[in-house]
Amino acid sequence: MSVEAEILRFSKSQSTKSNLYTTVAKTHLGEVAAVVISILISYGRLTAKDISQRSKIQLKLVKLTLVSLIQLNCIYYWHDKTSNNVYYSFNERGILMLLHSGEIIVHIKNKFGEEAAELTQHLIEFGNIKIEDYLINFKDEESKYKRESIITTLFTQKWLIGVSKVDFNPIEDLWMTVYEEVLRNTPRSTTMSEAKRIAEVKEEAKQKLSKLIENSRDVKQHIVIKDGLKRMNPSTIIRFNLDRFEKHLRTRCFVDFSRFKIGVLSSMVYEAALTAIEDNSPDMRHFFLEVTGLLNDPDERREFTNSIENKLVDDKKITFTLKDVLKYLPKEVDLRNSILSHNFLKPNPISKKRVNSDSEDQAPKKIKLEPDSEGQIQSPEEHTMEFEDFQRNIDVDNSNAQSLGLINQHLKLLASNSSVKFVVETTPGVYMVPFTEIVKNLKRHYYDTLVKYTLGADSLRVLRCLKACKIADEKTLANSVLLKEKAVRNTLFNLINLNIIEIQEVPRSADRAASKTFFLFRHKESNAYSFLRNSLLFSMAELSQNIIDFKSENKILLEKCEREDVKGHEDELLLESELKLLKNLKAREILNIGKINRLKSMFEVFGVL
Amino acid sequence: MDLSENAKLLHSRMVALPSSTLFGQEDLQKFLNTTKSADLLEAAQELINKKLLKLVKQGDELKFQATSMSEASKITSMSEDEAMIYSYIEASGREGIWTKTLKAKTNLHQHIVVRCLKSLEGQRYIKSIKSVKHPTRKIYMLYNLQPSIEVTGGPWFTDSELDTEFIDSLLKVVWRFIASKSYPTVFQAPSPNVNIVQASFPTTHNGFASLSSIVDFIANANITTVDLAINDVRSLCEVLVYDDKIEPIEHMIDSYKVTWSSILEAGYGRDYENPSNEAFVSPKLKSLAAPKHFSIFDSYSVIDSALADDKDLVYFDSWIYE
Repeated sequence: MSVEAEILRFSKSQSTKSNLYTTVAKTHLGEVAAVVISILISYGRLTAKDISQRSKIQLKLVKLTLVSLIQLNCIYYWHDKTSNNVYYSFNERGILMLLHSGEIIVHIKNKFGEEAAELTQHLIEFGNIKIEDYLINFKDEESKYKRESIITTLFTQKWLIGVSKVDFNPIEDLWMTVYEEVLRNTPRSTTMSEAKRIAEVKEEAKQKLSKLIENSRDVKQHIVIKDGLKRMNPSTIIRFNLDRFEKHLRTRCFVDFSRFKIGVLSSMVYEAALTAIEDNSPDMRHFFLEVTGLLNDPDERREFTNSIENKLVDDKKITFTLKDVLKYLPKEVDLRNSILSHNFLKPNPISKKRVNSDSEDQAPKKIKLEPDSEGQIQSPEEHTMEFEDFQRNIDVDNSNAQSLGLINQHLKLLASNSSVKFVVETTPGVYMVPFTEIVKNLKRHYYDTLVKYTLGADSLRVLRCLKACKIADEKTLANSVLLKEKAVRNTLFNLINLNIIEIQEVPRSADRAASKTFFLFRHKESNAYSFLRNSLLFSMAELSQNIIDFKSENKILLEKCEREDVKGHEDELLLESELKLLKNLKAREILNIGKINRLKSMFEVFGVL
Repeated sequence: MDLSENAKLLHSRMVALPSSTLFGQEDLQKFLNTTKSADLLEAAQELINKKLLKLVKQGDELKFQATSMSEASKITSMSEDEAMIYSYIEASGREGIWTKTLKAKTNLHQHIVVRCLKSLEGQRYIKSIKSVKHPTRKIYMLYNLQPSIEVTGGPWFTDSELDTEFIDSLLKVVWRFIASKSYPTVFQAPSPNVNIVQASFPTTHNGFASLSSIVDFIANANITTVDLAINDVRSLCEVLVYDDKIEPIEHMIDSYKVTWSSILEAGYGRDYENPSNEAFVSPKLKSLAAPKHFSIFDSYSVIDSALADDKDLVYFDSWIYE
């Protein structure tokens, strides 16, 4: 086995991330790139010479690969001034972009049209492009102008960002440089303790780093106003903003979640609301959270994320009004008669009269329930409901398909769900989205649903009971979930096997005799989720590997199809059996990609959000 | 039965009061209208000999308890060992007594105990019951008594086995009842007055199912002959909450509504997707409402179980078996 193949084989056992990333790199970028990435994941950071030595690949080839990988944002570089070495380290964003590429292009196509999708595809293919270099390809002025305006639109909506030098540097190194500089410039003094000095330096360095990064993100430097028109600075280098796409993924997950918890129409209202604030919604990643040792305490981290969200609420960046929702709500959505208030005043003719006089086009409707599936079992209430009528809510204007009253009612439904608060009404008519809180609940529900579909309803019952009890033994669980003890024991075994729950041993004698010990169970979210995340990554890599494998099995046929003389004349030059095989291969590839995408959509919840 | 006048009088006065009443010495003296303890002693001894009077120790005091004539004749017909075993079984009440405890208390040989139990059981004086807590123990109690809840395990147990079928059908009924109260038109055929895509109660609605209404519903609908207390129904509701089929309503104690996901799972709430209901929904809205991408929450409509022989199959948990 060659050294390259050996290295790729090791990446499988190294970590699930390394496995997936190398497989993706191998399919999209080729074997050498995969080897370089695999080595950088295992060793952290290396010089080009080190990489060449460890991979037994020629230095020249390594350097060539590194350049294109840097261009594709798969690798960071850092020029160390003291040793005058250039170090390279792995940047997962580039690979993630490749993983999401299909969906990104489809989304941009649906939202901004064909040309924007084409531009996005080029950006993903090339990594970073200078605007003037891109526009040079278009000869006639009109299409050039059109492309420019597309770039401006995408840029102002943050789908594209300007690239600066710091984007290619690892954040840890940037932090250390800034920190050391501030430390050097802060003299020791007798009136200040060392701990206080370090804390102050840390605070100042944080501000300095924020400033450095924010300056590079500043939109204004990339936009020039020419003849009263906002235009992009032609020398700006742009790239696709994966962070912005991740925000869209979050919106999508939230909408799915609300659709499942509240209903289709409410989820459409929610989607409109989320779209209205998507541009300004809090980032999923923050460089402070990525630097090791900056925010250690989980409480501190939580506080930091909350503070970002609170600031956005205070600045009215992620709040919205009913009119904002109306603006983004598709015109086809018809909310009429979706909010019905139940009138239980049936025996009282006076109140009925009042109801009739209050609403104009009132059509009292007799409700007849369908025969109960339980046979003779019918509730007395269900019988009386035959005579009850539904009254349209008086406060809601039902004549308009998208009246503000109806939108408000749907937002209220979203705000009043007992398990998840999808929106929070800050002041009457003004709502905000509590992102961090929803993400937490979304993960929980997602996980529960997954347990239900993979391990069965009993497992879900036991798991949710365990969550409610925090910690419990087998007997307590069996009593609360009304299942046979044997069934509970089997379920617990399955749950433990998949690291969904943990065992706590409680010894009852001094010698910790196993016969006397009894066991408690508990569910710990962080461990369970990280296990799931790894499983998802691993399965995705396995599926990608499947594609690589069956393609290499049929290498001869596939190479034949790629030949210039065969291309386009497959029907004439290939045997019938070959055509059939080719068709099967294509179908298998599509099936596997479909599966990868499903896993990816789960990974979005546990890995991205 | 031959009894002296005094003994007869004393016994008839004692049985006139409820059988569980305990009498002190003074009470008995009052019954006989005598202050002489010798008179009482004579009558009481006679009754005790004939098994019509029992001595019971309550705290530090000695008390008397009357036994009915039929009960006494039952006991007198028994052998001495049988009577002793019978008295212990009787004392255990509705809890019953384990044969091992019986042996320890009576200090009799195993064989004798077994023989006596057999003969008592044969005469239908006692019966053997199964305990939920200790399924392997042989427990006896008086024939005419009902085992207590601790022994039977409550309404969820039939023949000391957890009756999961009964529980499941009750859960279904309760879920359906709560569902009918949670969404206004969920079990109805579509109509032009109701939005087919989604019809919900407003947030001000307060007619959701409360625990007491569920109890009433179960009692009135003649679903079961087993008496269900409010706590039993509460535990049913808790199980439904664990199943994520219902959820408690905020700010309302013991009120529940079903989750929309459980409605979808039961096959309701998707009328707008049905081609026969095209009159109620515009095609544009229908296409807008159709799922556009994979979502785990919708997966029961997507997963294909016929993929088991797929060559490229990757199991979800393949990582741990790697």
